[in-house]
Amino acid sequence: MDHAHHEETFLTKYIFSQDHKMIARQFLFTGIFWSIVGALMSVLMRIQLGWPTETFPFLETLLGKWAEGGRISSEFYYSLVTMHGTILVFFVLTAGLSGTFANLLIPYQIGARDMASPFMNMLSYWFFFLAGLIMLTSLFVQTGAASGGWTMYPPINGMRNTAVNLGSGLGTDLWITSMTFFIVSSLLGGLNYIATIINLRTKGMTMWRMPLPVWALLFTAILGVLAFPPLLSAALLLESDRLFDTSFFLSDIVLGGKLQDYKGGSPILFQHLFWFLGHPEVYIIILPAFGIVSEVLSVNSRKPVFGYRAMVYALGAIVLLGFLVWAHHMYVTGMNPFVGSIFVLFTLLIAVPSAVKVFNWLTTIWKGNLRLTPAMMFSLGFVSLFISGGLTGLFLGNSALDIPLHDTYFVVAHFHIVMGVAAFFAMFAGVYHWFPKMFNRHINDTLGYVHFYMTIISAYAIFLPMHFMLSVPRRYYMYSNFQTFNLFDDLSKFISVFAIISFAAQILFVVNIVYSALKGREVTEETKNPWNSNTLEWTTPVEQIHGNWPGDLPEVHRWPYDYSTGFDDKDWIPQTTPLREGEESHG
Amino acid sequence: MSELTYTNKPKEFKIHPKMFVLYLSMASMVMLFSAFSSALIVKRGDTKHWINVHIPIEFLLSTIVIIFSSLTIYLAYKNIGTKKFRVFSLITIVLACLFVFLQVKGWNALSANGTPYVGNPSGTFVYFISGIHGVHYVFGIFFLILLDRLYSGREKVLEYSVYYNILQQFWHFIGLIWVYLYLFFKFIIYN
Ligand code: HEM
Ligand SMILES: [Cu+2]
Repeated sequence: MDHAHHEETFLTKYIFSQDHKMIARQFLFTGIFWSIVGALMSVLMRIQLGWPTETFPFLETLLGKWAEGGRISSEFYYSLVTMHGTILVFFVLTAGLSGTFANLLIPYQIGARDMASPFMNMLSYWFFFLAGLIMLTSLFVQTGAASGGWTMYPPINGMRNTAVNLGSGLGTDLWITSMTFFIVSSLLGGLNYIATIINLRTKGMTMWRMPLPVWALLFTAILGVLAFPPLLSAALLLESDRLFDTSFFLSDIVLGGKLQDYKGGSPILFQHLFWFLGHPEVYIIILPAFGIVSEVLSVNSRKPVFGYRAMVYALGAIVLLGFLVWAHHMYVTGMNPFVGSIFVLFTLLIAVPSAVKVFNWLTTIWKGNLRLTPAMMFSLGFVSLFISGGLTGLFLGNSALDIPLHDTYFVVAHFHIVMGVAAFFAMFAGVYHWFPKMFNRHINDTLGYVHFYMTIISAYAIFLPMHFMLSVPRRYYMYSNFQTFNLFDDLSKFISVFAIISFAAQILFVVNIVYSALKGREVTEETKNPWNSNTLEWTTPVEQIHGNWPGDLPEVHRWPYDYSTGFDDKDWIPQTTPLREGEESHG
Repeated sequence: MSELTYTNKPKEFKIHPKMFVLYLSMASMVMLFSAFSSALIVKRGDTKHWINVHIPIEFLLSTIVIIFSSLTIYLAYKNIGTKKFRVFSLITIVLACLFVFLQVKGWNALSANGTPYVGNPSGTFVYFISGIHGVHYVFGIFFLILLDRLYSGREKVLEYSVYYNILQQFWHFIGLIWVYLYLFFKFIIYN
């Protein structure tokens, strides 16, 4: 740590910044960029699915050869499916969510000047940026972007054979390269977050006094540091198969009537390596969401978080069990039914800590003095979505049910609700809640409520009906050839209309962010803690400085959830307030 | 931008934060090599496609060399601030290069014995895993040379020894990984 005074230039302040607050903003804006790209892709897919036989000349203007005659080509559709998944899972809900809030909240909430290694932190952002640049480039190569699914399963993705699948050419090579950079970025970030939380907590900030977002981000980082390396191994082996024609994942493949040279590999091996990350990855996405929501619910219910320690233990249990359930994505690979049943057991066990969390959120808001700020609305929405999506997880966790449901719209509904939309809701909650801290201006609430209602209505309108399409396979380009599925034609249009509405709502949100960051009501010393929150980030001065607090770091005397304890005439007692006489300390 | 003011006394650390980051990253590296190892174990279980590979003698020699280099880097570390440091540091660099040379010889021996890189994955894995280990090792050599160049005798010995200690621990770790890989190849997978 270099604590020397240094001159800042535009380049070191805004571009190659090593200040956690600035890096948080960089992650936020990069994340927003990728959400728009990813969401736009979903709109294109929904146009195709809703109106498969119609032509839209503007699509040809926009996409050229990928939408000749105004209809999206099948090759392009598969690229869209793949890139949409990749971008939203990794770039938005992993880097965008964790990157923004880990950087913003960890140093602030534990009372640190900055990360353990600000330099590594900066590298983490720039590796992410580079990963994004490479992925973006892949959209413009001649054979198109990767199109073999975000899970990159071989054999189709293990060969550079564009005759079989256009996107398997350069697009997939760029995909793998980009993901390699992304993994490096995640590892650099994660190592730094753990080191910071363990080493740099201010005086009095014991582990059991840490706000729940910090706990959640700690567990997220642990998951990432342990789960990304196996994905790296899978990516490297896959690229070797592609570039050097090795056979790690390939065997006995016949193309155009000719037996290929690949011998002795196993595509299932890739699935094991992939899902060993893939399942923890969904928790890498949802744990920060848990943390944000716990904090926002408590602050806006003016009540202590219910079962603080149980919340932490539940996070720990999820991390542990999260490593033992990966094969529930592989029930149909012909695994030994006994092995399958072990994975069923662990999968259903993981529902227990998840249920503990839900129970504790509901108990936290129960009889609370609710303040329905936009952040609070989105947090309540999160809880609703997490319950809806978690329930279908219980169906899918049973191998006997999953075998018919695998790769259908039922699965699409499950993971979009429980992970996709829910994590987005937590991210929105976080942005609304910490906006005054990030930009020193207040965000427009009215637009916030409009954003909330439009989003929750369209999210449910899109994904609830998909549960009834449980016979329809996912990732198909066109269903009109299948008589049976004509049943869903109208439903499909209905879903597509709401997808467009939901996209419009997000544009409104982005406009609100930009507008409020430039023109919103300014934060003053008096209004700098707008939610009357106990945590340390709200004690920093309005004028943000590198090092966060001028003078000494704040000292902590209590846990962060002393709301409405009756020991003060206010209904909140900041963590920096010493214990009163007769008051008992939490942790 | 306002000046940074750090009026608090610097915190006393039980472990240097950078060393702590190294320990954490060791967990990541362990996961990486566990992933490769378990992939190989799964492959080994698929007896229909399995072809046994003879692990060449070069890999045994390189194992011995890597163990010695751990010893010499330890001696270098213990002698920071004295004349002997340079001697042990240079011996370690020479041994490190010898290790890389032996690995390359080992790969050549593999191909010469009918186990090419492109072929049955039973053999490809040996190249691949030792190659990934090699990448980590070369990374270490880079820092070994860098720190050797930065050494300035008696000045700033304390600060220097913190960094050299981090490097030293990484070196032992990556050596241990290779010893593990060698034993794993020789006695568990390819026997
Ligand atoms: C009660 C807890 C949960 C259970 C029992 C559960 C179970 C499952 C099962 C068995 C599948 C595989 C379905 C198939 O492909 O046939 C699945 C898919 C999926 N789940 Fe869950 N899940 C749960 C919660 C979650 C959570 C919390 C997330 C994310 C935050 C999540 C994200 C996903 C994703 C992304 C997929 C699909 C991956 C793909 O095939 O592309 N699930 N879930
Ligand atoms: Cu899973």
